[in-house]
Amino acid sequence: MNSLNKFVLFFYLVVISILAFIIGLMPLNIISNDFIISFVKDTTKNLYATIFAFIVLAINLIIMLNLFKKENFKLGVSRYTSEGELIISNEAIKSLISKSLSDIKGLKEFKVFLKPNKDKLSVLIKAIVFPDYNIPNLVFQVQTATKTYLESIAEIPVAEVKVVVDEIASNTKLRME
Amino acid sequence: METDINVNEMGQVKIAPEVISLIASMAVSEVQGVADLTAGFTGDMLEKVGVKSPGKGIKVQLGENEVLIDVYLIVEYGAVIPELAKEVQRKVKLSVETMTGINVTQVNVHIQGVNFQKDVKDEDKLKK
Repeated sequence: MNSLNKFVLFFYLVVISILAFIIGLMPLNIISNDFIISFVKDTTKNLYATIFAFIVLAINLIIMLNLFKKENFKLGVSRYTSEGELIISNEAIKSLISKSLSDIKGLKEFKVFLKPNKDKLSVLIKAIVFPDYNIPNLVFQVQTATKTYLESIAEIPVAEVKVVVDEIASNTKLRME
Repeated sequence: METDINVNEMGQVKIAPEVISLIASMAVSEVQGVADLTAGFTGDMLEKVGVKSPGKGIKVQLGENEVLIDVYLIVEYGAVIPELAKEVQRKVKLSVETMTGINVTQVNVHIQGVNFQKDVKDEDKLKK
């Protein structure tokens, strides 16, 4: 979902939330019935209401069309063979990396980011590690596992594997009482 | 749109794209390491309500007497992807050309995901 679609969805949700809030207040008599009746009467004569309704309808259509829009299947690494093209999606590459890292002890959580360069792939791994592990060793293991696995299983040339240790997971949780 | 593969004094033979996608789909399912074909969002929704699409994950672009095929699939964990893709391309091309006589110009393979379930089941068996 691109930023325009996100903005449209956000705007739409704001409108729906306001309407839901107003409807929720109506039975509680916080908003008087007279006010609602006069508001509806005014709205029927107001051209702005029509414009507003059409804007909401347009947003609805955009959201619905986006739901059924074909995903960008080209997003990923592609290479040409004599029989045609082979495209490996970013999601598939991320799954492969996650699996290759799952056996490494010392990693608590990690997120994988991919940046395809001209002919090689750059990988960024943001990780949370357990304490008592040597971080340079751990990072080296992560880099080796990622590079070796991708190059052997998917034959994707890896330019670099950057590892960012975001946080150290604590073994104990302190409680303040 | 159908494609003419043979025009003679007896008449024409026309082949619908659905037939080609079905042939391709069957060829892909024979390749070891292919977990499933992906139908995309719309296809998945239709499958959930019980509408079966026999040629799911296959996109066929017909020319005059040639065809370009796109295959969208999920692979099993552990499969060597380039080898698997080559096998898919070879089998699809061979099946479609043998059965229809239409020249397959390209078979593009799109790897959409990796299936780990089989791997997990194997590990569970070993643990037991």
